[in-house]
Amino acid sequence: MLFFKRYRTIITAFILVLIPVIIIFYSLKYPSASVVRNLVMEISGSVEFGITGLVDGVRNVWNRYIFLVELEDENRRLKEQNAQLLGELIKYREGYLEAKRLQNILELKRNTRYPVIGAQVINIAQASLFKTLMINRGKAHGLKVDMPVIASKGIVGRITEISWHTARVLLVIDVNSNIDALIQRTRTQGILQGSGFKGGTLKYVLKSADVSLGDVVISSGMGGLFPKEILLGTVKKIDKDRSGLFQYVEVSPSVDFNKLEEVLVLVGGDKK
Amino acid sequence: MIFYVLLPLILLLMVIFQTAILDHLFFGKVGIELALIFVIYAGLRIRFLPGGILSLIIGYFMDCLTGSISGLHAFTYVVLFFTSKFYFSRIKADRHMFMALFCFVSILFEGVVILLFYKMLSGADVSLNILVFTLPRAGVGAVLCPVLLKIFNMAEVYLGYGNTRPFERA
Repeated sequence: MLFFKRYRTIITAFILVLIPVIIIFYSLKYPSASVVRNLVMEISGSVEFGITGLVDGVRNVWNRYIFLVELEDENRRLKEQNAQLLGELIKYREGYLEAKRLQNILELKRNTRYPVIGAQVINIAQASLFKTLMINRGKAHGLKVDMPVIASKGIVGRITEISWHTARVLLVIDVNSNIDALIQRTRTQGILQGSGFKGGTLKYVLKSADVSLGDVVISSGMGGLFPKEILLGTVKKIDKDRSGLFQYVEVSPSVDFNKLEEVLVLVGGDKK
Repeated sequence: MIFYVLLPLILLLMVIFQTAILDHLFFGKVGIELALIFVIYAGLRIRFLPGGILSLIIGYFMDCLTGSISGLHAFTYVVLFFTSKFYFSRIKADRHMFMALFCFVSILFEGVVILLFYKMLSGADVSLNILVFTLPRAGVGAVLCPVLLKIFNMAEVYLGYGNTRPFERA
């Protein structure tokens, strides 16, 4: 008993070291898992299952975040690409429309009996009191004041001011514009005066004259400024009830000035 | 008494924490020998018999969770517990350097014992594993050992079974 008391520590240590050694030998001899081991594995399995779920959840959230970040980058990149492609598309569409317009102008140039100079509209001032536009041709290109300007759909106006490389064109809808005109169907003559946003009015047409809505109005060629038989517009309103000798004839211009981009300037004299 | 009853459960959770969570956190690249450092702590703080039994239990848990032969970790941990008790009874235990050194050697010892055992059992030469596997673990363990011992001490104090005094001979 005294022996055990004296060597208690050593004996305890020996027993505690001996236990795992016995367990090792036992495990080697009987490899199947013990009940305690199964129990520990069961507990740890449950805990680890929860932990794995939690970790996977966090990982999924993280991956989702990363995915979203990547998605955002991709979205930004695609938006940039989209904007770039849209820009190119607009450019090509512009090119196509320009080609169509130029084709019309070319057609007009071919059909016109007079030598012409093509010009590009660089500014249009419809909102101001004077209805004018600027073109990118001037004295340097042979233009002069009072030269008529036309577009594929008819008369645009005449040049009123000119510099070396630009010219100002007074539109047919300006109140200062007066053009000798004819109603194509009946050959009734009148003076087409601009009236701003309303278009123009055909003045000095007798009440007895045959004028109908939709009649085509063309230039008469008199006055020496505009050549004969160029489209001016169509009759859109007639009023014969007004006092006086003449009826009121409102004309809608054939040219849409808002969409005007290219024009031809008739430089005078017959084409050779 | 309840403390010693609850302790195995806490130890089991700690071993699960070591084998499951820490592995997840460090993607299985760096292992932290939490259980072994606890054995060192037990050698510092816990009396001979309960400390030895706890080392045996925690070692057994490690055997269960790492898939090694039952008793292998238990044997190593019990041996390390007694060594720790002997070492810290002769050396001033609140020196961080000594703790880190002891921890480093203990982890190496654990690795060598396991490798030797498997070499004995299956004849496989896995000595290279000491370099690529055990040495980094020993390094990490040595660095973290003083901090973890402090945390264990705080936990013991928090549970009401210890004090905040520096580590002393148990």
